[in-house]
Amino acid sequence: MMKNLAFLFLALLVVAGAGAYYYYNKPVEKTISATADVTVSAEKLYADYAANEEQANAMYLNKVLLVTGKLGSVSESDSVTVTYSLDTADPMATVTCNVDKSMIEKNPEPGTDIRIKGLCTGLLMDVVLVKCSIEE
Amino acid sequence: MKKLVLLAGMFLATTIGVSAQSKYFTKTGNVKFFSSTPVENIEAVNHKSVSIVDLSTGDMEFSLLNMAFEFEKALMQEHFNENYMESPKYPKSTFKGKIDKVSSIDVTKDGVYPVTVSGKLTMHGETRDVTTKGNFTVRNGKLSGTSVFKVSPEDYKIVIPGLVKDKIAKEIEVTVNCSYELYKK
Repeated sequence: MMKNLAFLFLALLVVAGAGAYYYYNKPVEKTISATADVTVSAEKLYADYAANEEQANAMYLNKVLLVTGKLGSVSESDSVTVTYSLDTADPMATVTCNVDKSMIEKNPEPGTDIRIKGLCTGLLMDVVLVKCSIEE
Repeated sequence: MKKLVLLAGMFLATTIGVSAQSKYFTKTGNVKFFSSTPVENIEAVNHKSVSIVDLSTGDMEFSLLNMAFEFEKALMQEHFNENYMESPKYPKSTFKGKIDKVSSIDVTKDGVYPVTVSGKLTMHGETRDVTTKGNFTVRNGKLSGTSVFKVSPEDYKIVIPGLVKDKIAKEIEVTVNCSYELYKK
């Protein structure tokens, strides 16, 4: 009986240890797997930020957004990331979406309407979304 | 006299021309930080920093979104944003300063131009004066800038709990690397 209990305890310890190890070393997600909290057009997203950054942060920051809009340009920011920029009403500003190169399945052409999901990190010159994926 | 006016006019025209051509910017500046301790090394990169330099005045500005830092481990990124930087509350980190001896930088001549930059670094809602050395490089008419400096989390009231104190360096090494483009408006 005592032996069984000790064995059970040991097994539990191993499982817990493995779980903790896995949790601690879990790599960062390359794309957001969660469903979108908010669906918004690129134009409205930027306009909301331009009008009042604090309010817009309360609405969008750290949330998963599904952004719709016209693809303005595609550029390689570095060896691992491609940036898809969606047009806004302001010619100087865009909604930029970082996509990990290894996650790209489709290559939409500039000028087409796309839907893109990603995590909103706030406003610099553009509204910046990371860990994005192009949606159907 | 006429010649003098013409000369003055020409001089004015060139200086105006120069000042319109003196602003450079990037939206894809790289800012990396590295924390090294015997227990663990932690590294994160932000590829989306915005920076503007004005070579006529020496003004320099940096701005980045804390949540756009990319880590290797999910848990580190979560702790960085939720516990240490409190990114939902303070989404941005910024630097505003001046480049010392900016006139030494000649964008028409390839070369490496060492500079000293001093100004105000704001993060986690705290602003501190910083001074750092860096290099501007001109190659084939392209301007780029690099700098490496140290930041102490304690100075910015970033509290590291006792449990992980050994894993996070007292001084974090920050590396900045920007390729600038001419700013046309």
